Amino acid sequence: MKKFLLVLTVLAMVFSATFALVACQPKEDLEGTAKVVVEASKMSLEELKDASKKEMEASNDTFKVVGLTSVLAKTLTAFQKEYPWVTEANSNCKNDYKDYQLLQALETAEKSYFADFALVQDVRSIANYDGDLLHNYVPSDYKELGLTDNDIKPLKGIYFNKLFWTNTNFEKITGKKLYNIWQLAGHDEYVDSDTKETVPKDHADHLSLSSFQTAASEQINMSFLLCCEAPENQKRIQDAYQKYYGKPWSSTEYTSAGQQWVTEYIANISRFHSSDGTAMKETQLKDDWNAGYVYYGAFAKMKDAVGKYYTVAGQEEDPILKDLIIKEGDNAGKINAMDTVKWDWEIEGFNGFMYAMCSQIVNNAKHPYTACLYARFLVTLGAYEGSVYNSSLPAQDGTIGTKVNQYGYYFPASNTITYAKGDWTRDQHIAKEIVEDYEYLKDVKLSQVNRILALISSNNKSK
Amino acid sequence: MSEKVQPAAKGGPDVKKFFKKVFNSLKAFFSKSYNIILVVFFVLLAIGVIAPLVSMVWDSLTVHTRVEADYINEIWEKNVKKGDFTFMQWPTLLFNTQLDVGMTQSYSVSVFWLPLVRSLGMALVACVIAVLGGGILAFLITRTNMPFKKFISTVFVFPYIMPSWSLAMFWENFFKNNHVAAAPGIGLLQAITGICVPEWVVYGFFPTAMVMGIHYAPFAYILIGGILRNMDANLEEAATILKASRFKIVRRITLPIVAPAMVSTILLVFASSVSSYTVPAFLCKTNPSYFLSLTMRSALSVGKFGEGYVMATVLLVLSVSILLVNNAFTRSRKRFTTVSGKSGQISKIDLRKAKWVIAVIVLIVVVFFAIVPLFSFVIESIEETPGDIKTATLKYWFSQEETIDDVFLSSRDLSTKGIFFNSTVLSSLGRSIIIAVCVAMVCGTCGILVGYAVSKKRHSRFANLVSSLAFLPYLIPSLSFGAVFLSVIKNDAFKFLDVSTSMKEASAVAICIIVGSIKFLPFASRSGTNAMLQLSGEIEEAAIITGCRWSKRMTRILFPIQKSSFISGYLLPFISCMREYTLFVLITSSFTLATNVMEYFTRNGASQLANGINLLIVLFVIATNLIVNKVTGASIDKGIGG
Amino acid sequence: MPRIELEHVTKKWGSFTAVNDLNMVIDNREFIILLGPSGCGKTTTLRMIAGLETPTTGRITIGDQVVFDSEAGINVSPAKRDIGFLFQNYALWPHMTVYKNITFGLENLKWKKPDIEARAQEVMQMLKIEEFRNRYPAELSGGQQQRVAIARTLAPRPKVLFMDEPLSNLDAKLRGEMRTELKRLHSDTNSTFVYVTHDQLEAMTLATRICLIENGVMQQYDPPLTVYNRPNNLFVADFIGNPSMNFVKVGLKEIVSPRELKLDFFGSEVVYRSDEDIVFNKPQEDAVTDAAPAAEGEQPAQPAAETEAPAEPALPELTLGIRPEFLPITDNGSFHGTAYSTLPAGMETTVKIKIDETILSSVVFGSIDYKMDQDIAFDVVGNGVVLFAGKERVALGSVAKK
Repeated sequence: MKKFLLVLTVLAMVFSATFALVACQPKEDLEGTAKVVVEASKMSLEELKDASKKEMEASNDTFKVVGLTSVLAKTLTAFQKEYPWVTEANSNCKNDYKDYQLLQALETAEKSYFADFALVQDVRSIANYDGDLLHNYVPSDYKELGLTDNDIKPLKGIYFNKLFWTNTNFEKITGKKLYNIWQLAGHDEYVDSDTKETVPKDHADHLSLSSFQTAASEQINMSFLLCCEAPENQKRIQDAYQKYYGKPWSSTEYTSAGQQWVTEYIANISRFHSSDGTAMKETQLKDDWNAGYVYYGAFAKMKDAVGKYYTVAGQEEDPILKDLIIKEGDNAGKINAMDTVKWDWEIEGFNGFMYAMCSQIVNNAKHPYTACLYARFLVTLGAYEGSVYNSSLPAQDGTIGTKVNQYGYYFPASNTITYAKGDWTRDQHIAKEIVEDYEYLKDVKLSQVNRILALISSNNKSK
Repeated sequence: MSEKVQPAAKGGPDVKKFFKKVFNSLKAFFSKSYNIILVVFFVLLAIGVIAPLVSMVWDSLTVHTRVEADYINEIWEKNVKKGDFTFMQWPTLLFNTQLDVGMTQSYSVSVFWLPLVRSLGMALVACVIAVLGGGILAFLITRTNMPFKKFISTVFVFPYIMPSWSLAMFWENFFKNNHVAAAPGIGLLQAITGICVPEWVVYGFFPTAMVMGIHYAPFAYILIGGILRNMDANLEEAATILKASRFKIVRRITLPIVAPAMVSTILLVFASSVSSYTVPAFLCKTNPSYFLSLTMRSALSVGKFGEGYVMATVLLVLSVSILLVNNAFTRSRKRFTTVSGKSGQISKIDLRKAKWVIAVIVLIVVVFFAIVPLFSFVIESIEETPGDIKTATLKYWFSQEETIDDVFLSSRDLSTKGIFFNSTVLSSLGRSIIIAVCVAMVCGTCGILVGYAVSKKRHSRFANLVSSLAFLPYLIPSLSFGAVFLSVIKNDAFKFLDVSTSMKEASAVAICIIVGSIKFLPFASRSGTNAMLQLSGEIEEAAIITGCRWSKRMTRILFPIQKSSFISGYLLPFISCMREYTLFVLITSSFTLATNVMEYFTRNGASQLANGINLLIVLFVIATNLIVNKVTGASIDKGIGG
Repeated sequence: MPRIELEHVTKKWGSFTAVNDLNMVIDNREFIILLGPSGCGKTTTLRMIAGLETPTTGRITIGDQVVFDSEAGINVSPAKRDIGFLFQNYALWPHMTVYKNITFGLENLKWKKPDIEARAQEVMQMLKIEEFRNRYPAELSGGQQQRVAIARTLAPRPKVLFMDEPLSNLDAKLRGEMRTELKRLHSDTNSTFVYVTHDQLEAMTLATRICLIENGVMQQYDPPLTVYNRPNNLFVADFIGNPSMNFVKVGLKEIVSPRELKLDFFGSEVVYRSDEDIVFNKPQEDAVTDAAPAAEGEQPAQPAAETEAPAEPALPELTLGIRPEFLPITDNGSFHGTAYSTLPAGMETTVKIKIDETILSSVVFGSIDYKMDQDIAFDVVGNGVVLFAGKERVALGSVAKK
């Protein structure tokens, strides 16, 4: 009996030990989608194609692409031509989210399949979701694809930017040029509420009217303001200060020149436009023509102006407009809206903000290899030819159509893709603008964000 | 062993008796159709309503991001991680004294408390405007001999039919002027009269409250008018005979009787105004964080989900507490049976000469808010250059070629042909109509059933619970509601509803019908309940005694008598569904619904087509209302009962 | 045919008891009137019998069929109880014509078309509403609506007819006419009528038996004249009769014999004589326990004739109940008061006599008018003077001044 019990005990111990071993099997560092994406990053194009083909053929679900821009649908069509195992029937693109909606929708990827590929704007969200809801793929041949080390973490898909622009009438109305970012900070003449004395404006060239889409709902503008406080941008802001005020920047109140600029710029905003598209239209509006606003908005919205012509009935003698009237052709007697927008100012400090939408593989993807293949495809010429090239928009020099990158359109992440004559190149933009900095933004503290939100909510410039 | 058996044997008959008793009471309970209805709806609503609510509150108690965790750890010296349960989201938003360089108030004050106070104030003012405007009009229409009643009554509901933000757009476009720095361009008023109104008229608190109030005034009119129309005039006449002054009659007799309708209106207007996003977004150009709904959306937009959900919960709690007050109010109220099966006539007050003055004033107000916006949609749908009537063209309506030369739009699978030849617009409009009709059918019918059951069991707590549950969807912000259903359809069991499959538009239509039916049930259940409460129970009992089946009683007796109220219960969800955008946006594509396409066109510079679609939606709803009116004699302006 | 029996029927709403342990038998072809002040439970009782309300406990039988039994879990729907119900507010369906209102029920009963037409014609004729055939309820006067409602109720030939204050919305004249017609209708239709009213005159004139209810408890269930002459308690005595019975608090001076008492009546000593022995109940015994058995035996509870000595020390308060017609005014009457008010109604005159601080009503045949405060002498006659001990009737007898 005793022996039996002993055997039983031993057996039980062995059993439970085995069980414990099985249960506590040392976890691999990565699993699921994360693991696949790391493997894919090591693959050559041929291997990736094979994996993608195999996975699509085995799947009875559709390959799903989500994002915020219409370019995704067009490139998906081009993608299908290049990789025929992805067809119109087994792929799907939903690209009409607004940013917060996409993020909300992505939350569902935590536990179940939501989509395969997402093109995400705002790197702070990517940082939040990194390795969790989103996974970063890096093509093994990224250098050959024309990407730099700055372009791969996270993997850039398409570059965008936001610029300061005005209308053509601006200089005439304000009597000033826009030449320094500090013109948008500082302060206008005001009456001090305590002393009842009038305080003169801080600088003769101060500009009191700016239109800005609130950073409280537009993440990119938040990132822009945050990046203005990033250490690497302090020098250009301080230099601009020196040139504008004629003295080196110093402050006991502010921790950086960028912080001072951000604080004063927010206080100087007198209109919060609802979208950059609206702002672009307002630039061209005859009723806004004489206001003298400096607008800040997406350069891509220039496309709205490029193809648009206005009649100028009754204003043929307007001193500014008369020179813009088209003399001959289909649009004779009209003006091109693009001609009413002035944007390529040489501004000391910066012209705006350069940022990207990034390719991300969604957690629980059913077709991760295909998603990686698609992410790789996005930075190739093929994607550009399938989307923004070949359209009927003119480049700045008037060239219509063939294989050019045009005014106000997206910027390829790859250096190997050419630009139309007259367009700033990607590198020119990067040089002239504050650049979205993933490493800085991912560690930005919430208190810094809160400060900006509070400043916006207590803006009372226009009261 | 035997000891154990005995008590059981002893207990046998008792247990048997007990089960028999339970069985009997269950049988008795379920032999009543209204009990079955209550139980079925309780289960459905608990799933469809409570689940989203719990998930929302849960979200306000969760750490959503690494950054959020860092922040909480920093200011409260905690040690939370992403995904943790925590109460700290609340003090982080409500009692955050962060006061950095440049800030004039602490973070909580400027982002939460001030916007909250403004939102509450705005919602209250909107309630006052809606109740006063709608109530006075209801009184004039039902109780006086004011002329042009039919016209005013028909037209007054237009602002409710229009999407509220199109009214906001109209307000801005009308009042903006070049003395207001934040306004781009000049508005109609300045263009015609040269008058420049001050900025507070164009942007901020006042216009938001006005637009919300005007948008919901028809609702007050419908609710209060319904009661006044059905109220026994003897109640007022009795007071006249007792030498009460006109004012006293209104104050002591009429007001208390319409009070439940006023409370319902206030509840609805308050809940909608306080959480409305689109209207403030249009009318707060000078301060984009003016109201709590704006700071809530901003918190969600910039990835501060915890704070966003705390604000959403606060808004919800506010609305729910008003609902509770409403319930307490109606519970203590005596049951007004206004349709008793006995006839009563209503006498009208003779306004004498004043009637023309009053009529003209009312006409001006009504035309301004109901007709002029429509007119402005027409204008904006034909101007090639917005604001320039000289560029008017009909191509946005009739052209068979693409009307918008835009690489962005043309790179999409959509048509920019004239609206009548535009496959994108027409098919989305078709889907909108399908959804609206289905939702109306489901809601209207469920509303009648809920109303029936609740009125039959008026004093039971269970009925009150179901009634409150049926009202809750109204209080859940539309976007959160959509988000919850988005996560539901991602579940494998509901895969067939996923909008990103090959059947995408059909799936989107299906899921929209489900979501819409839950979200808009409150309208129907309110009107159904009110209509049922007006019917004296004897009307149905008289039929029960003749051996009339339940279904026949509903269709042959109850429905025909309160036909107009019940049809309103169908019409209201129909209208709301036709013009809904936020609720459906997460579960549809850009081209599923007419409002999707409209928003897409607005966002992408095809405002003429967008305005055309808006006009089509409004006209379609108005036409439906008129046809229903002609065919059945019911219409939304004829009241959704008390 | 149908005999309706209620056994221990109780209806509660939460803690409120609307009807308490009601036992009652309604025989075939009776005209039963449930009478009582508003809110006493009479309508609830009616609705429970009709099946519109579910009793909390108890058992109801109509004919041989148990229609409700809380123990056995039986609850027959109103439609299967073969009854008619006439509602106080008529509950005419406003969207149907008179004809449709009448025939709707018949259609539900799957009558044949010609039968429906014939029956509708018949009832409309009976109630003289043929000319309104195609009108809607809103186009009729109150009296006409009432007739339509009756026609609708009668159309399916129900064996039992329930009526809930059907005349209360009519003017006095019309009410009088309808009363006459209802009584005829009762005998013409051969049905059992159960009728709820708070109007005692209606009850007196129509009923074969009156069931008087107060606070959910049955007080008396007897033919009208029994209720009138031999009220079980103060409540019944007070509720029935117009002008109401006079109540005079009297002091007991001496128990002369089991059938004779000496009483103090407004300061004078009177002798109260009864034909039966006067038995006092214990004062603690309240009305509830006393009234319930009274209902079961269809006779009013009689104080037992068995010899039981009148209780001596703890006698309840004694009250004499005197109907106004037992107080004739005569020039040489034994009692004296002053004329407080005189209310001549043509056929008879009600004289309010003030004596001490009490006001008594006297009804005199014909028209008389007394000056205010004029001295009046009156007698107490007949042997229908009721003696109440506490709230309960203990005897009927006569009063004579010594």
